[in-house]
Amino acid sequence: MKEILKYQLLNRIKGKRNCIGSIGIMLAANIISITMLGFKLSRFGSLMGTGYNFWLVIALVCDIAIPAIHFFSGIISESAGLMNSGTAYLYQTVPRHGREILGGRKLAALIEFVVALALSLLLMIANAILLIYVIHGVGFSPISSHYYVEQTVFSNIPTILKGTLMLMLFFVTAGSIFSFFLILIHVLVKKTGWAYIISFVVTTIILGKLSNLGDFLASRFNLNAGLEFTINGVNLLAPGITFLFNSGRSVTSDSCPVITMILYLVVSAGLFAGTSWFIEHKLEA
Amino acid sequence: MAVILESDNLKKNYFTKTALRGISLKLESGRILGLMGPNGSGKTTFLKILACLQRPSGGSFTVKGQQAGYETKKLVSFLPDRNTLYPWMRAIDAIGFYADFFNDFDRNKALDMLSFMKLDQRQRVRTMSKGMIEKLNLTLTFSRKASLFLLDEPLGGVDPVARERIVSTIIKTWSEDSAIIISTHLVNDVEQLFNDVAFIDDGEIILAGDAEALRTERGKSIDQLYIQIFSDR
Repeated sequence: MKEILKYQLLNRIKGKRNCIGSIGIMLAANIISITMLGFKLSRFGSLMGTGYNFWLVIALVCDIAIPAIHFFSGIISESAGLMNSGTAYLYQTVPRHGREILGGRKLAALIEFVVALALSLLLMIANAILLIYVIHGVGFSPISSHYYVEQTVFSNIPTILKGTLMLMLFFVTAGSIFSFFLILIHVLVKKTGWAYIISFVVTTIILGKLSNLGDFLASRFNLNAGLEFTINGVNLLAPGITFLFNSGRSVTSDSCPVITMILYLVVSAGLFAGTSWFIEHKLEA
Repeated sequence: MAVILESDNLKKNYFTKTALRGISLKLESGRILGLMGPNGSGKTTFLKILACLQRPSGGSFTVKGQQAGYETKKLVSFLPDRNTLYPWMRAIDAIGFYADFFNDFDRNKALDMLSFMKLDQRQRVRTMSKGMIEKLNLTLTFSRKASLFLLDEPLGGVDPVARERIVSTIIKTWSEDSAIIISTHLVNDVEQLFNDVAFIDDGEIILAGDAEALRTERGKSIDQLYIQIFSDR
C-alpha cells in the first residue's frame, strides 16, 4: 500500500491538478492580509481606509473554500483514476490487492484534505489572534499574548477537535460511499458520466440518513460522550479546567456524537471491503 | 518445454456485442506468438483479459498454472496500446515506479535499454512524442523478468527507425524461459520474429499454427497469408 500512497502523493504534488497551487493561493491571501495588518498598524496606527478588510475577507473565503475544494476533489480522486484512463491500466496491472490500491488512494486523499484543513485552521486562528489584538488595542507583551491565544484557541479546543475529527470521519465515509457506488455503476453499466452525479446524490442521501439515525439512537439511549484531551494526566477538555496562565476562563467539555461516528466507521469499513473486492475481481479498464 | 499460457474457451460479451467467442490456445516457453487480425477482431480484448484488465464472460486461463488474478499479475508484463504513465513522470521516475511495484524489475537493464532507445532519463512523459512514449513503455515492459510478455500493437504510430529499435529489443529480450504475444496488423515488420501465429477475426481464431510450417504448407509469407485471409472476409 505504501507504494500506492507514494505515487498518489507525488501525483498530488507534481501532477496537473496538484494541490500546491490551491494551498499556495490560500497561503498567499492570508500572508497578504496579515502583512497588510502589520504594516498599516505599525505605520499608521490605524486600519481606517487601508483595504485590510478586503484582504481579510479574501483570506477567509480562501480558508473555507480551499479545504472544501479538497474535500470534494479528494473524495472523487479515491476511485476516479481507476476507470477509463491510462493510469487505470497502471494500477490494475500491478500486483497489488484491491484493498491496497483503494487504501493507498484513500489515505492520500485524506492527507490532502487534512493538510488543507489544518493549514486553513492555523491561518484562521492567526487571523483571529491578530484581529483580537487590533480590536482590543492590546500590546504584544508575552502575558497578554498568552491571554488572547488562550481565549481564542484553547477555549475552543473541544469544538476545534470535535469539528476536525468529525470532518475527517465525514470525509472518509463520504469517500467510501462515493467510491463504492461509482465503481459499482462502472462495473454494471461501464459508463462513468452519469455515475458521478448518481454517486454524489446517493452519498448525500446516505450520509444524511446515517446522521439522523445516529442522532435518534444517541438521544434514545443517551449515548453522547465527552471528548478527552489529556496532557500530563490532566484532561484539558474536562469541565471547569483552568489554564496555566490563569486568565480565569474555563473551557467546557464538548459532547461528541459517538453513535453517528460509529455508524460512519462501520459503513466506511463495509463499503471499503466491498469496493476493494470490486476493484480486485470485477473492475475493468 | 513448459507451458506458459493456457487459455480455455475464453469468451467476452459486452451487453449486445460479442468480442471473444471462445479462444483456446496453449503457448510454451521460448515461443513468440503473433496474434494477427483487423481492427475490432478481438486482439486487444484477449490481451487485456490476460493482463487482468478485463474479466472473461466465460472460459478461463492460466499463466504457469496460476489462475487469473493477483498471482498472474506478477508473471505477466503488459505493453498496452496507450500511454499509461503519469505525464509529470520523467523516464527515470517511470523506472522507479516499475521498480517499486514489480519485484522482477531489473533497473540496470532498464537504464541500458533507455540508452539503447536513445531516450533521455530526465525527459518528462508530457514532452515525449508518441514514438518516444512507446519506446519508454517497451523499455519498462521488457525490463521485467516476466514469464509472459503481452505487446499490444507495439509498432503502431512509430517511425521506421523506432520500429527497428523496438524489433531489436524484442529479439534481445527473447529468452527460453518466457513467452511473448505480439498483437499487430503491421505483419511485415515483425513476421520474422514469430514462431507461432494465430489469425483472429470476429472474436475467434480462424487459423493458428507454427509460423514456419504455415509458410511451407501455404507457400506464402505470413504477411501474404494475412492479406489473403482478411481480404476475402
